[in-house]
Amino acid sequence: MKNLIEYMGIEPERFQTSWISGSEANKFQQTMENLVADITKLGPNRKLRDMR
Amino acid sequence: MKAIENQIKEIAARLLQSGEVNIFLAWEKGDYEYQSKPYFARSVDDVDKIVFDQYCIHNLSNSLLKFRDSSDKIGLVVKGCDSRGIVRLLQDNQIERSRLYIVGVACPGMKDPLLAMKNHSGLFKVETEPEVAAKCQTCRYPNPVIYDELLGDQQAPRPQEARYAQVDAIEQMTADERYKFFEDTLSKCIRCYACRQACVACNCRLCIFDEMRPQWVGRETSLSDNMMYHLVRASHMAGRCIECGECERVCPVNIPLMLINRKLIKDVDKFFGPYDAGIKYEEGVKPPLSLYQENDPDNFI
Amino acid sequence: MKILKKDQIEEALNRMADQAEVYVPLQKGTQTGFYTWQSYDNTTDTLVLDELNVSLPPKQVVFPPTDKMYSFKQNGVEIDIDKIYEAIEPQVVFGIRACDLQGIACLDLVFLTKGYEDNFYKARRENLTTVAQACYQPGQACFCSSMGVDPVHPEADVIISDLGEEGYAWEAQTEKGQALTEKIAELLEEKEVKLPELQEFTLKVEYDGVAEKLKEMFEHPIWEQLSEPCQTCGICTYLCPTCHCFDIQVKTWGDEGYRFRCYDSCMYEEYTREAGGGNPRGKVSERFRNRFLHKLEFFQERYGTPLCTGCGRCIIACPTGISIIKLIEKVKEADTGA
Repeated sequence: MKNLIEYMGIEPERFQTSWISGSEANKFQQTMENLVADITKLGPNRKLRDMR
Repeated sequence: MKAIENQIKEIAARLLQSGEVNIFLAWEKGDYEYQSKPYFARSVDDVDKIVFDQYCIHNLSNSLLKFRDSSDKIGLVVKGCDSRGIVRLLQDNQIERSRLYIVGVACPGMKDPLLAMKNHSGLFKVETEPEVAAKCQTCRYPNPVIYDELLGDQQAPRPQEARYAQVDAIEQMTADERYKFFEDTLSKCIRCYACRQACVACNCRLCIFDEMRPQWVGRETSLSDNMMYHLVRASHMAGRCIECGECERVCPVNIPLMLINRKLIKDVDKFFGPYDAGIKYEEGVKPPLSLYQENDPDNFI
Repeated sequence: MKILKKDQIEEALNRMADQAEVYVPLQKGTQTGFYTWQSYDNTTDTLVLDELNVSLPPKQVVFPPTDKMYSFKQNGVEIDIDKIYEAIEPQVVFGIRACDLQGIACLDLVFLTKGYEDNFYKARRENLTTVAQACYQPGQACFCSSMGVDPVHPEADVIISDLGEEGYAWEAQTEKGQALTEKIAELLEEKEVKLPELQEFTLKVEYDGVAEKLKEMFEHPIWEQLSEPCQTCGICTYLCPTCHCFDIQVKTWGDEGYRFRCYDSCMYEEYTREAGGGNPRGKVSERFRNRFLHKLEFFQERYGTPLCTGCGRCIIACPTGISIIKLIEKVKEADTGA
């Protein structure tokens, strides 16, 4: 999936997967914070936008 | 090919006569010399119309989906790519093997009647018709992989260099160039869903794109909805696409769909492979993405 | 007779494009259709006025594949209509053929008559000027004359006729046509010319009486047989100049959104699926029958003209070779046991 998105020209870092169990609240928080940091660094997504 | 045609007719007549099948799927001639189209023979009298020529490119295994709920016994003629379609349907539990009588024909490569129709239509600038249709040019399995009877001399697979050539070329482009390329090709999409209908692997009773509650991908022909449609469909095909090329052939706006499908075939081959979909039917064996195994690659997590 | 020389076509189109969106037949890559003159790129595209017709029909000029209707915003418990998208800019469709023009005439009957006027369609239609190209050389899959269409005298605002080296004969037929002619008046010359002769049609069908016969054939077993190869792919409905089934859907995000009209197809399984889950046209033969009865019987009965204009696109593009002509012939032969 990640490769396919990359193939289409969208930054692969925007799509991340992780194994997190329901009881690993801390890990969830960490992962989310990292993800948000990564995406903020990449800047707003201009691709695959709706026609609004 | 005429010899094979006669053999097919004999077999069809024999099967229909004895009642071993009640429908025989083959091809017949259309209104033009370059048009061969699917034909459903139901009695011995119908057998006369059957043809087998270089325009019999249409994948008949797709027509098997019409009969999945009936109890008809079906005979059909399949080429290499078509037979992989049958394995696909068997693996997906869409039809039972015991209902089918498969006449395999080793295929030398076909020409595309749709291209010939377009050339004669006056609606397009004429394209030179290649010696064999585009989808046949990198054929890996011209000989049927499943059959009850096999006709024709064994055919050699075609040279494989061109198979991933375009995919590699696209991978070499920068991200922006790739996006622009797909933006240009996929904005032409009119969302007619012909690719989905022509595809053997697309056999869900309720397709995700027909689901309204919730609606996963909108129906607008905007670039984002078009890209989502193709990305999702390709992902559902991952590990299941038999590379028959029908989707690209029937597309009314000539979108190079195999570029996306081949990328996934290449990746599945690399990560889960070596793997070619629909080559062999074994009870209980599933495509690589339908089965979780502990050693599946997970470097993306 | 007014003449427009071929080397003046681009200038004429430029002038018209000054005050209107001009749609011309273009080949972009491997695909042909009506696209805006503005989008013409002379490195990749070709103007195909000299070709018989184009693959994608020009109905999109008055009936686009995605048509925004109105946008709204939530305001507490109320909803405010933000904006209504009625197109008001003028459009010109240049080089449309008689079959496709008749297609637009059929759409006019649907959207503007019988007691209800569709504002969105009406706005586009009233602001449209049509410049039709007369056909003298029918194509292999053309049968417009059998469906009551005159290929040489389409009812357009302006008719152009290809005279070869002489250029195009230009004839305004209505006030709108006159107004358009004024815009390019200096580019036109006055000359006496002889118009070409209409050549023979290779494809003909006798449509007379078909509608009446079909009325008796709703339960006829012929539909099972004829629909057998059909894969319900929908290509015929997208390439047809008269098909107009649409769906209305909505796109929302947060507390705002918009409603839009999009193409639908009677060939799809969910076409007649009801809210409760029932589906009166669940079988392929039922949807197939519906499509052809609409084209050949219902429309004739309701509006006095068939919904098929004989353009031949469905015959060319159907992946399983289904032909409306063959269907009409089989219907005529069919035994209704009457």
